Amino acid sequence: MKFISVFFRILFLEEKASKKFAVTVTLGLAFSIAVILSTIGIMDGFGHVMREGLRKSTGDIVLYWGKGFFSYNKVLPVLKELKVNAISPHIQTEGFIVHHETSKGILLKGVRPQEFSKVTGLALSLEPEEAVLGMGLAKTLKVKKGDDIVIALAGGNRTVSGMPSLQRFKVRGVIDHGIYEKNMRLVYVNLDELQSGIHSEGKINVVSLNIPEERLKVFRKGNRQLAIDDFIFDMEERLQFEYIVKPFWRDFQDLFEAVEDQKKYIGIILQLIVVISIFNVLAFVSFFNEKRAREIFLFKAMGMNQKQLNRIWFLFMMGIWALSCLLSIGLVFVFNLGLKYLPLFELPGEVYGLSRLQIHIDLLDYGLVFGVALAWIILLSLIVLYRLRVRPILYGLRKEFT
Amino acid sequence: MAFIEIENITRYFGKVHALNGVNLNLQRGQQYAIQGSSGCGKSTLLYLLGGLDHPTSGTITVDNKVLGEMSDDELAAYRNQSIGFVFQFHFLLPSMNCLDNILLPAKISGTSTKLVKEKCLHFAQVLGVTHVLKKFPFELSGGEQQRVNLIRALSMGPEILLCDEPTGNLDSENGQIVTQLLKDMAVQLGSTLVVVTHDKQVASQFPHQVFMRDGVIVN
Repeated sequence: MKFISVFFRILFLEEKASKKFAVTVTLGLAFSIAVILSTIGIMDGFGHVMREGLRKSTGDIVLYWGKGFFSYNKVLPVLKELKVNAISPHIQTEGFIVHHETSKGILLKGVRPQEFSKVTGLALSLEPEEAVLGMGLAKTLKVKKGDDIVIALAGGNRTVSGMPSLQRFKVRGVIDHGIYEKNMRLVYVNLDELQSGIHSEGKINVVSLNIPEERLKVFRKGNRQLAIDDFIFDMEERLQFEYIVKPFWRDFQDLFEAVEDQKKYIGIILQLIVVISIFNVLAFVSFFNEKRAREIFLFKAMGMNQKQLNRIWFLFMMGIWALSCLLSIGLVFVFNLGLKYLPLFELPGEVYGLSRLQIHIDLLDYGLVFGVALAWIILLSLIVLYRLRVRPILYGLRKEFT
Repeated sequence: MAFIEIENITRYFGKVHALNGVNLNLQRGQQYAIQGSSGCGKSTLLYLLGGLDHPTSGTITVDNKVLGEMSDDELAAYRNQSIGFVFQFHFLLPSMNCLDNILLPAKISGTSTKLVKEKCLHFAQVLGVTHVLKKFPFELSGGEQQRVNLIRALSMGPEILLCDEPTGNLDSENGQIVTQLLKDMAVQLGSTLVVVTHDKQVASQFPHQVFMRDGVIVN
């Protein structure tokens, strides 16, 4: 161990040029890794935030009846039998919000606040004749807590072609779904008030629900997506395929698949960046071998064996790799902060569904990106060590010391 | 049986035949001078003895062990434990002080530097270079550098001390001194001393002299 530290000091630390070169190479590799991690992370983050946002507005599963409104009591016994974790019956209908002579089309949800909150995790509370607005909608209409709004509804099932009914509500607050579209369109009111507004007392047209937690345990790492798919299969069977049962991501499935594919291909293409920085490492290794050949051959002449040389080289290269990985994590963290707060990185939400991106990288992605960089480093080290091994000591000594 | 047996050694570097069938037996604890003109193959022979190079053909046996049959690791250990090299160019690392340079072989082998240091301080006293041990090589005269080089070669108590033109860079007075020191230290350690030189005056100080010409021994 003593020798390793001496060797390190002599070979890698004592000369300014080698030190600077090593730092530059480490930074270059860290930057390349950070670029790949960030790109993959943004794509994963997009999917992650989108899924979270969708789940926040619907729960795990949404149940419809193909013919429109239905009685909650028809499905409730089956859902109870399936031991669903939380259920929220509600009405979802189109309408208009009017405020200070401005009107806007909305998606109106009549909910039982407690049940709905339990399913979605949204902190929603409503008193009679109160409404909660999506954050974007409130901003657009310049509506704040305590303001009065009017909601125009179709006359209901029986008088759908008739004049709209107008209902006045007090704004209880605003809510953030994390998805631009939802924030711009959703308004929540009490279920019974909406039922009477559209003359559909005792009827609903949507049930949101969460699957039982124990169903998650069946799948590896509690994979919710697989558990939901499995649960839907059971539900459809029990409901005799009379109802439409959709997972929360269904409407965006194509988008998620596209993002997943993009992530794969961009990840592969971006390996080029790592290759470029590996060329820097290669340049450093060549520079180093030329610069320090004298010491290496002298040490070999004095009895340093190949194992010692291998160990030192691998330690050094691993050091560069490990430091680069750590630095890249730091760079990704800084970039993520930028994505979160800098106006530069704000997205047109109407195009992307989200107004802000965030980086989300799982362990597998870290492992893959770091692993590929490590494989390159190991390959380079093996080449270097082979070249050092085959050069005769005598040749090296004479060349370097003459 | 001789301590070192060199049997029909050849060493070719492409078309250059540095050694053309050398046979030589060296006895333990004896002192040898190998002399000859430049390019006659004497240094090549020395490096083969020291395990720094491999012969094209023939065998070298040291203390009943054939060098050509040793693995890389065994050869490295042989260079570290059994051989002390004194090169014409001192090969001291400029970034380390003299004491650190001297202790390098000990650090490579992983042996306690404390014991080796004590021994080396004794050598430094004998060789009169105690005052330079904390200095860097560039601060030393040629004679002092060669003495430090000698201490490094002796630091592991080698069985064989191999010296390649040890006085080549020194004036005749310093050359005399270094040669005498080499001989004295070899006796003190019981080492076999092999000195390669083209200087007849230096060679004449050794009890055994080997003459080489065109890659063969001529006496």
